[in-house]
Amino acid sequence: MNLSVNICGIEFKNPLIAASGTFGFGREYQDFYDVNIWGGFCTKGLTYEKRLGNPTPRIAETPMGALNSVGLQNPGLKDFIKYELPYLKTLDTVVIVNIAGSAVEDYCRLAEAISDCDIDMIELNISCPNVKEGGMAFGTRPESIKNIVGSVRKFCKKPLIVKLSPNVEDITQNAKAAEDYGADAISLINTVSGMAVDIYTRQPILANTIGGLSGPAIKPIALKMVWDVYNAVKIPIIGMGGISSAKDVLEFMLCGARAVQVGTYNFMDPYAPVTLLDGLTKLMADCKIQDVNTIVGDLKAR
Amino acid sequence: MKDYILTITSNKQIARNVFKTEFSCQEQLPKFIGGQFLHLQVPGKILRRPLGILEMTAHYCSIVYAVVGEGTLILSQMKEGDSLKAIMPLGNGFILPKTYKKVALLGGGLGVVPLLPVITSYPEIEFYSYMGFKSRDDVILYDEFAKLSKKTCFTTEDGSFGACGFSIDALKEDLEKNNFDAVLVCGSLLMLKAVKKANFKVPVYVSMEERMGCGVGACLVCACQVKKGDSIENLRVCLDGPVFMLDEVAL
Ligand SMILES: Cc1cc2nc3c(=O)[nH]c(=O)nc-3n(C[C@H](O)[C@H](O)[C@H](O)COP(=O)(O)OP(=O)(O)OC[C@H]3O[C@@H](n4cnc5c(N)ncnc54)[C@H](O)[C@@H]3O)c2cc1C
Ligand SMILES: Cc1cc2nc3c(=O)[nH]c(=O)nc-3n(C[C@H](O)[C@H](O)[C@H](O)COP(=O)(O)O)c2cc1C
Ligand code: FES
Repeated sequence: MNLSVNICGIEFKNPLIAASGTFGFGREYQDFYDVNIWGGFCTKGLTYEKRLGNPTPRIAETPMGALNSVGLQNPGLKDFIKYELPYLKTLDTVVIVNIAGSAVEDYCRLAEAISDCDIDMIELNISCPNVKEGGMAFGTRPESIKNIVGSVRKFCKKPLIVKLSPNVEDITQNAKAAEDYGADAISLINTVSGMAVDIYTRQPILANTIGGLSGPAIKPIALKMVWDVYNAVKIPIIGMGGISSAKDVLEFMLCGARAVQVGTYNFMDPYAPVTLLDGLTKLMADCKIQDVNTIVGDLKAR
Repeated sequence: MKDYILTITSNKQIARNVFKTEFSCQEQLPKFIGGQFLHLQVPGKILRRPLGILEMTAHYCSIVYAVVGEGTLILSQMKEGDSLKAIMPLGNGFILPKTYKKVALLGGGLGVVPLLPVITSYPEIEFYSYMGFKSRDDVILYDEFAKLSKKTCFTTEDGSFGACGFSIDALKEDLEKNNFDAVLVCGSLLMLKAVKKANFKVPVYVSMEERMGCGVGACLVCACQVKKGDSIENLRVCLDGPVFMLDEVAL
């Protein structure tokens, strides 16, 4: 049975990638399993300068989902290189560094610096709903996507994944803009903008008032967007949003994802990739799938 | 730490809105220190719930919790024989130096729960316990503290059980005459602020509470602001805490 996939010339031993922001810089789940079991993993969103993120509370439970407003807390480039990179280099899995910024120039100098590091790919986060400066504002309109992807492309020497926001009018326009201006792959979706309210205190639950919804609740939205984008661009797609079973993985791949990212499910099951891989091999055998690549985009139109 | 399958052996109401759940576990559970917690999966919920560990031996553990929302309500309605998963033991707990001989425990409401096992974690230390509640109906674990502490002082705000007033005031009265090596605190944010203001002249350890995502340090949801020299850092309540030194945390 073949589970390995290839994205932009990079080999992944299986299509499962830990989603940015849910897997730190890779160390925290070492106690539970060998983290090299992941096909790849995406680090917590990195900015040039260190960020403390938003005030707490930063998470709320919602029906079949979670709403977070971490707001890109991260150690900044210098400490990343000093403390996190040496560990990442020891790993035998694809390492994707997720980057963010407050201005196009921030993204550019970060992409340039990260390109010189021993990592495999860069994921451009232009879709974080939880920060005022940067994040989603860059990634909701084709014009600004052209500008930022085009600019970063000039400084980025690694395969460039552009991560799209679902909080938009037409995701296919945004995907095409990213493709036209130099993205090597597209990942989607980031969290869906949302809110939770406490009727007793009459306050929003999150200190930041709004947050990003993730988990099973957003899966149908994500599946549709992956399918729409698959039909609009030629570059590979990495799908995510609510994946919490092997069946979900196959659904995303049928809609056109060549690999998938797994986020909130890590919180539900600390052995997420072990459980999913186990399920995937069983399910593929059941469905008589020899090679996982053969189902990518193989959704039968009605 | 590991995700264990726990089976409920008893689930009982022990005070107003407060339940005690006891579990058995087929696998051997590790050693733990008072102040550590578990991250409990509740059926039908996406996020796990962090709850202090009251007791834990090779194949047994227990928790005591208040029913405050949907997750704890579901938990309180679960039956003997039902199973759920828990990542445990998590966090640093109250790690105390060997030199301590006499330590005061200051608890408020459900904050008394993680303090009880500290006593059994350090058999060589004498513990003085100051635990406060709103009213008689809220009092929990009195017999347990009375059995294990050198001195036990329970207070209620309305005077319906023990002394009338706040547990911090009872502790203040005793601070002068007892040379405590440290004070360990677990309670509401209001209580922590009162302790900060009181400015005890001994080391104060506090257990912080924050909403969690992963429980293991990966998501940065549970930030606690801490002063490091001139700058402010975010530490993780789940991994770097929940116990911090009071003078480092920005309250
Ligand atoms: C380290 C630690 C130890 C704790 N120990 C105990 C204990 O021994 N006994 C006890 O009664 N309570 C304890 N708490 C508080 C307990 O976690 C919350 O009361 C509980 O999670 C509420 O869940 P719910 O589903 O009923 O509430 P909901 O409001 O429905 O929960 C929604 C979300 O908010 C989170 N949440 C809500 N209130 C709190 C809170 N006060 N602290 C952290 N997360 C919260 C929940 O975990 C969940 O993710 C502890 C908290 C922490 C951080
Ligand atoms: C706590 C948390 C933090 C996140 N931080 C980031 C981040 O730093 N950068 C980013 O691109 N996405 C971030 N995300 C979004 C996820 O990578 C993912 O796009 C989203 O959660 C949907 O997938 P899921 O439903 O499997 O969680 C975060 C999500 C969560 C839940
Ligand atoms: S809850 Fe995820 S880092 Fe603490």
